[in-house]
Parts: sequence; structure tokens; C-alpha cells
Amino acid sequence: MSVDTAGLLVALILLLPLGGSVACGLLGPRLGRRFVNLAGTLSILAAFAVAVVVLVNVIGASAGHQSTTVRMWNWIDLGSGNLSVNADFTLDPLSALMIMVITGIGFVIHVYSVGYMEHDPGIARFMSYMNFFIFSMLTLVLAADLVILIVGWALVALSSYLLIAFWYERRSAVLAARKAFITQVIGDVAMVFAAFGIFLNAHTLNLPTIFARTQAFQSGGIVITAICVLLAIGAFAKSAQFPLHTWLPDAMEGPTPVSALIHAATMVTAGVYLIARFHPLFNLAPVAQGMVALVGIGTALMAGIIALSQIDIKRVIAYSTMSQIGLMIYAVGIGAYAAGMFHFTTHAIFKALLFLAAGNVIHALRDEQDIRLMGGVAPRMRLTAFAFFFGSLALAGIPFWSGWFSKENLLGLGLTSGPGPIPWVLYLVGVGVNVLTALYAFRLYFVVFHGEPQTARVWAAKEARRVMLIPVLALAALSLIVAWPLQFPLPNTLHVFSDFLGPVFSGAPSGYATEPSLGLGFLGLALGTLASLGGAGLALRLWYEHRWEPAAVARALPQQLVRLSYNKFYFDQIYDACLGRPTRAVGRTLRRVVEPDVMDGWIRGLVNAMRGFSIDLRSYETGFIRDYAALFTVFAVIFVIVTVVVVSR
Amino acid sequence: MITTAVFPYLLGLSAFMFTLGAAGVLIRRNPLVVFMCIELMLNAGNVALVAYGRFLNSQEGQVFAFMVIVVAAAEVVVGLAIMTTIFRLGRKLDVDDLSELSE
Repeated sequence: MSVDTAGLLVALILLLPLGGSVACGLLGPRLGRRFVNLAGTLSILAAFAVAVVVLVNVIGASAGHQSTTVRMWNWIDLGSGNLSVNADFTLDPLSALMIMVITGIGFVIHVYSVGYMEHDPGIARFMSYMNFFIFSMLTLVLAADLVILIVGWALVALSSYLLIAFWYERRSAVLAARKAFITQVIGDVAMVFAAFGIFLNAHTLNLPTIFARTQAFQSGGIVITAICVLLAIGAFAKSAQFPLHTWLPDAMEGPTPVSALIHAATMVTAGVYLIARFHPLFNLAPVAQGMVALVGIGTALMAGIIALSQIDIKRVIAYSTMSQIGLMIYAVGIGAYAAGMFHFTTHAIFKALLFLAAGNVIHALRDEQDIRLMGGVAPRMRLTAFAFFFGSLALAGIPFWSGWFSKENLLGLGLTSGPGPIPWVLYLVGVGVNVLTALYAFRLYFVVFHGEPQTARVWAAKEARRVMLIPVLALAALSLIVAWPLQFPLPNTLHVFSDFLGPVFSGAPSGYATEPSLGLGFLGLALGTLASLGGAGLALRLWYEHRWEPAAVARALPQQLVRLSYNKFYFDQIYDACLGRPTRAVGRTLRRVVEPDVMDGWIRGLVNAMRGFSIDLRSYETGFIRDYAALFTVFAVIFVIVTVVVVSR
Repeated sequence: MITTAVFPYLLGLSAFMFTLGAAGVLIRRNPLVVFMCIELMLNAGNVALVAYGRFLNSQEGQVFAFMVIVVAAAEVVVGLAIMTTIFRLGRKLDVDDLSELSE
């Protein structure tokens, strides 16, 4: 692909959503709903078309020339060898994959939100923010300069903030938005420090140059480890990983299309993309990689446990997102970058599907989100139930839905991620996550769609309109077939996907996840699949056949575990006790002591001094003209005497 | 012909007139007399200006004296107008009675 073509494509794909955002935001309130719906969705469709052109170009490029970097303009230049920031963008297999998913899923969700937001007066604002999010996310994934990447990184946090607080008259939504934004700023700060570290050592912020200069870092040294840990903190904040994960469930306060687009399919997986993009640095820092893998698999396990006991339909899906992203983070942590990106791709589809189908249910039940008050939705919303079932199958990793391919592929590679028993321990945790995933996925499906309707709202539920149904059905079809032509989770079989990304991730040192031997691969695949099927079967017994009462089973479990799960491992309470309460206490002390006595004190002292001085002065203001004349005379005489003394000296 | 020997006496005359005027402004309560005292002070200045002009062999002193005369005339016009207005309001013409500046 020539640089000129690449420049044109990058400009088009970035400016289309930005133009859509501006058009919807500025003209939308005047031109009305029809215009907003058309402009908002068509801009993303056009961007998707550009993304397809990019993908075709990248696939068609000859070996070794898949990556094209274009320089749009020079932003900051302090001379050679000094800081130079350029608006550079890269088109390579990784960014082509990302923009395909972002614009493709983004378009489907934009169409869906036309139906979901049909009664909302703020549709122009909504579409404007959504288009702006697509623009920010594309900036983030296309950036070939660390500063531009951080700009995109911060802009997606901003869009997320704006969209979580879309219904700003709800106090809980505003608080959730604030929480999400503050948590992500922690990650932003870590990213900026990582940028400092990279610049001090590699003397550039241009990503391809940094990756070409990895010899500037001592492999396994403290510097590269610190940089990678800081980058990982940025990724954890964005991807809702332990310990910066608490914002994601609260972010479900936003409209459901927002949850589907930002908090499931694209933005929260930016952390996975970041680590995959910076793989040349992470390859040099095994300690940081180990930490990333541990945090990923740990978060996957924890979120899976929490998802089992949540009662809000969107929060269950949010925790499952956290858990699945944990698996992706684990994959990039063990060096299985392509596997992580593969799970990202399938997850984006089936998780968007689950959210949109859940949105249909919420819409039909007049904004009911408590699953205990649902039940028996399936006979009234057959197509939605069917789509949600497909999403659950893919999420649970049932063969041959897309989730099975990507998850088993990822876990299988984990088997060879290093010497000794640790890979096996991590693998077994992953298998446990498989069981949990199948359990909570089908618990959600059975509790919502089967059994007896729990409220009158369910009786009145009707199938969603076509504009909301077609996107869901399209995603349902994709969630089944998307992985078939791409990748098969066995060694030496179909590997289109990892071959496509291969040029990006070439050069990973040995000792990281490699293809396992055929026997080991079969063993891993069988174990993982059995775990998923077992979990699904258990869920069937518990919540569909009611062979055992779920409540009785919960009583039989260790009560500490149940309480931990229900209270989300008490993270909100711990953070409130460790951060919130001390901060409030300091604030109160400052208010009571420092502000009145110190801050107000010196101001008040100054005021008193001035007041006393002015009272003294006032006594000279008698109003008698003769007094003024006398004063004037006295001072004139003094002036003359002083002048004479000074001059004659 | 005035010689330079007269110059100190002229300055002395000017100083005496100025002091007399200043004392009058401070002591007298009738605004008309106060005005006359101010005229006295201005004319003391004129005497000094003309004397200096002569002494330094320059025309500027006389020119400035004319300026002072013009300013004095203008000031008297304004001042007398104010006094007439105060009188019309039925107020006593006494500078100590006009003390509203303190309020």
C-alpha cells in the first residue's frame, strides 16, 4: 500500500466519524431525529467501508510490507535528537483488525440505538457522542506515536464519561461516570510516566522506531520492567482489571448500546490491544509479563465468581466482560498475542450480541433490569431469546460457537507458556473459569428467559421492533460462524487468523506460548471443552430443570464465598475505607481548621489592618474646606522644604 | 530701570503676599474674602514669575503670568457662580457651614 493511499484512508476513516459527530451535535437539534439517525449511522457505515478497503489492502500486501506508517503532520519538533511529536498513523494487520471490529460492531450498534433511543429527546447528543467515541477509538488504535496514542486513550475515557452520564439527571449515572473517569485517569497517569521512561531510553516516541530500538533497553532490566508495569497499569485501568476494575459494573448506568459498544466490545479491550501493540517491550520484561498474566487470570476467576450471584442483567454481563477480558490479558501476558486478539474479536461480537439482546429485554419490560423479576420471557420474545441463547453458547465456549474456538485456542497456548508447573496451574484456573463462565452465562439465560413470569410486565412484553431485532440477529449469526474460517484451536490446523497477525508479532523470543504438540493440544482442548459443557450442564440442572434448588445449593456452599461473591469481594467497601473515608476526613479537617484559621486567617488580618487604617484616615475628612486648605498648605510647605533640601545637597 | 539688586526684595514681596493670602484663606470664613485671598496668592505667584523672568532675561515668566491671570479669571467666574447658587438656595455664605464633603 503506498503512503498516499494509506494517508487518504486514514484521513477518511478518522474524519467520517468526527464529521458525523459534529453534524449530529451541531445540526441535529435543528434538523431533527431523521437526520441524526441517518448521519449518525451512515458515517459509521462509510468508515466501515474504508476499514474493509484497508483490510483488503493489508491482506493483499506482499510479505514484509503489510505495515504502512503515514505522517499526517508534524505537531511538536524540538530539533533532531530532541522531542518530536508527529501525527503518525499505522495501517498494519493489527490496526486493520481493530478498525474492522470497531467500525463493524460500531455500525451494528448505531443502527440498534436508532431503535433503542427512539423516545429519548437527547438523540442528537447521543449520536454525536457515539460517533465521537468511534473517532477516539480509531485514533487510539491507528496511532503510531505514543503521544497520539495517549490522546486517543484519554479521548475514549472522555467519551465513556459522557455516555455513562448520558442520563445526567440520574445521580447514580453521574457518580458512575465520575468513578469510571477517575479510575481511568489513574491509568492515563501511568501511561504518561511510561512514555517518559521510553523517551529517556529510546529518545523517541514514534512507535515503529521504539520497537526498532529495543536494544536501548537492557532485557529483563529494572527500567524496561518499570515501563512495562506502568503500561500494564494503564491497560488494567482501561480494561477493568484488578485492582482498577470497580468502575465497569457501575458503568452499566449508561444506555445499553453504550454498554455494548464501549463497555463490552471495544474500549475496555483497549488494554489488550495496548499490550499486544507494545509486545516488543513486553517480550523484554518477563516479570511484567508474569504480573500481567497473573492479574488477567485472577481477574477472570474473581469476576466469574461475582457474576454468579449478581441480580442485575447488565451487571452480570459486565462481570462476564471483565472475566473474558481477564482471559485476553492473560493471553497477552503469556505472549500469546494473536490468541488474545482472536478472543477479543469473537468476544466483541458475542458480548455486543448479549448486551443488545439484554437491551431488547430491558426495553420490552419497561426498563426492568432485575433478573429476579423477569422469567418466562422466551415465549414472548422468541427471536431475542434465540439470539441471547446463541450469545450464551458463544460466551460459555460450547463447540462450535465462536467463543469455543478463541477461548480454547487461548487456553491451549497457555499450556506451553513456560517451564515447570506454573503454566499448568494457570491453565487449570482457566479451566475453572470455563466452568464458571458456562454456569453464569446459562444461569442468566434460564432465569431471564425460562420459568414462570415473575411480574405483570413480562406478560405484557412484546418482541422488539425490526430496527432493534435485525442487528441482534446479525450478531447472533456472526457469533456462530465468524470463527469457522479463521482459526481452529488445534496445532497444525486452520490458522488463518494467527497467520494474518503473524507479521506483527514475529520476533517473540522462545520460551513463550508456542504451538503445543498435537497430543497436548488435544488434551487441553478436551479438558477445556468438558469444563464448559460441565458448567453448562450444571446450569441446566440448577436453573432450568430445578433438580436442586439454587438457594439450597448456595446454602450448602461455604458462606464466606457466597457473601464474597454477592458483595463483589467487598472492593467498593475496601476502597471507600482506604481511600474515600481518609480523603473525606482530610477534607473535613481542612474545612474546619485550615480554611478558617489559615486560608481565611491572613485574608481577614489584612482586612482588619486596612479597616483600622481607613478609620484613622477618616478622621481627617472633616468636611471643613479650611481644614483641607490647611492640610494642603502644610504639605505644600513640607514639599517645598524637602525639595530645597534635596536640590541644595 | 530695575536692577538685579531689587530682585530679592521682589521675591520677599511675593512671599509676603503669598503668606498673607494663605493666612486669609485659612482664617476668614466669608467665601468672598477667601476668594480675594486666593487672588492674592495667585498674584504673589505672578510677581515671582515676572521677577524671575526679568532676572533670568527670559520672556517665559511674563507669558506664564498671563496664563495665571487667565486661570484666575476663569476660576473667579466658576467660584462666583457657585456662590450665587448657594445664596439662591437660601444658605448662609459661610465656608464652615458648607461641610457636606465629609458625608
